[in-house]
Amino acid sequence: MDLVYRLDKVSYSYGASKALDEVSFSVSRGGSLAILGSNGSGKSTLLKIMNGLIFPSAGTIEFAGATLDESGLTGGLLRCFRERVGFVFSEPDVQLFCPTVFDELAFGPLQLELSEKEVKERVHELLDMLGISALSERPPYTLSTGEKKKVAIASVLSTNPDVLLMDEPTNGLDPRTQVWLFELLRELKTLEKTCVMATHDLSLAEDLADRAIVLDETHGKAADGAISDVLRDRDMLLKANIIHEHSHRHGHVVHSHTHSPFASHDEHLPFLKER
Amino acid sequence: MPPLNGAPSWFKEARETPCPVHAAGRGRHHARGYVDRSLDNITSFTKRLIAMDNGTGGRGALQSIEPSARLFGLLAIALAAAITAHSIVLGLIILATAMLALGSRVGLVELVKRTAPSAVFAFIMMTPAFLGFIFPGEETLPMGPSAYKTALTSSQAAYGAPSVFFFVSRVVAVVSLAALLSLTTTPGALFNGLKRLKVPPLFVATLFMTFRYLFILLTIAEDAALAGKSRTIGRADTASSRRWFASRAALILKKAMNTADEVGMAMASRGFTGTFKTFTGPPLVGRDYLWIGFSLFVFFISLGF
Ligand SMILES: Nc1ncnc2c1ncn2[C@@H]1O[C@H](COP(=O)(O)OP(=O)(O)OP(=O)(O)O)[C@@H](O)[C@H]1O
Ligand SMILES: [Mg+2]
Repeated sequence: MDLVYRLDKVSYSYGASKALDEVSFSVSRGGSLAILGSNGSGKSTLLKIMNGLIFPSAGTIEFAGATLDESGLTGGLLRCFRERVGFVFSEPDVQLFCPTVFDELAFGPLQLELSEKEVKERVHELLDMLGISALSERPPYTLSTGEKKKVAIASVLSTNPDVLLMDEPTNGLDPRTQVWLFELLRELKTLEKTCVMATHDLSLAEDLADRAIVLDETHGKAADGAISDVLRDRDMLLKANIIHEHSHRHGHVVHSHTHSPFASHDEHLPFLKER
Repeated sequence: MPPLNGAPSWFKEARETPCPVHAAGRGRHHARGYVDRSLDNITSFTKRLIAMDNGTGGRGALQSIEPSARLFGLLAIALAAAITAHSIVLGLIILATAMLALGSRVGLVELVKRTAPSAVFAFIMMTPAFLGFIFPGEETLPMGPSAYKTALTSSQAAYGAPSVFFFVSRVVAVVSLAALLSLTTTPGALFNGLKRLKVPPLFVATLFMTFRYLFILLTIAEDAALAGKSRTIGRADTASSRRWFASRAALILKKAMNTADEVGMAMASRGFTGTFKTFTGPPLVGRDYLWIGFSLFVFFISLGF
């Protein structure tokens, strides 16, 4: 089996505060992995490490057999890595810095020295594919949150990455745009793209991921396995604070059940129904 | 457990009556605070600079000239305005600037609005010379380019009122040319233009990042001011809003630096390695050369006069 990523006991600290504690896992080509965890458990940090933006304080990370560290990720490897791996930040404002949406989509391919004609064609095709041609000349900061997110995703897709890292992709999207994203990601899956997403959205994870790892509040790995198995392990999910016990009223009946943040009732989620 | 069981009792207290309608609009109307207003001005100016959503893009005389040629020409004319010693040349430059603005569909009002603050500032700086009672006398440094000569001598009131007028006109010419550039050129085009003029890429990239960070800083400052305002009951006076702002300044700076870190990462993630690669843009055509020729002509005239 082709491995895209292999992480071995990766730890990371911001100064004195620990953000990741000896996390090990691997990602195979074409797979899609959900990283689940409560706020502050280290998901974003893990993604930044997987994008070679920060480097582990201890442990090693390999991308397609090459070690990602400060001295290794330079020159040809860096260029190849940037071309192959795209990262959608959780905060689209951070990611969008060009004067227009068109320039935004052109930025990545231009840095990778594609010919200008090719870049222009690519951008137009991508705008069409994502249905955002109307935004082409708008300055990104004037867009709504959801539109920004679309542009941020498009700006990453424009380099045609093999691996897509996404930090909370459904954040700030209305239900219709969430469906748009679901469909986009499902299509990318059929194109054999490797997808890693950090999320609290269990229904997104269930729909799109085939594997999940769970980070708990001690910043270590609490679970790793097929998505259905991970999502069925209620005790572990409760302990990692991803779902929580919650009681409220249905008419006159008070009852108690578990809740995940984005679902109105977990019993409507198929994976928790069968209990 | 119902979520509000643990909340203190004051939190659960419901207000029975809605806000009385007649209480609205009863307070005295104040002008908005100074801090508020200047922050608004700075942010909207910078954001407009970045976005150029003032509708001057794409149409008009200057806009039809290739950005690097536009930049070069306006710089040459501004330089001419800065060194000429002849008021007729300066007058013609100002006239040409006004005509360029009209031809480029930049309203003269817009141009004056951007130029006026510097002109007023220059005038105030020069007031002692105008009144002529501080250092009446002859010029003391009769050397160097005429630009320095004029600045020095006028501040020493060698020539009184005419030289003040000349100095202020000089400022007006240079600043309105700069304003004209910013009003007709998107920052993207500007950075491209700099690159095409063979300004070192590292310098252009640094400038771009500075620009970008400034934007972040302003956005965060603006958000902080809004957040402060949303938690302020009633109207804060200038003194207290300035105090509030000063107390937040360090925090805002820290936050901006954190965000800037993230932006740096987002750029690196998309392949940015320090040299800023952009579209090369169309080749120069006849009117671009004509424009460059005109600006060089103005420049050489100013050397002679
Ligand atoms: N720049 C930073 N400086 C210091 N500490 C940080 C920094 N960024 C994150 N941390 C800390 O590292 C830990 C992990 O943060 P991270 O952003 O990876 O969490 P997360 O799982 O993405 O959370 P969320 O779901 O809220 O996005 C947290 O305890 C956080 O406080
Ligand atoms: Mg996060």
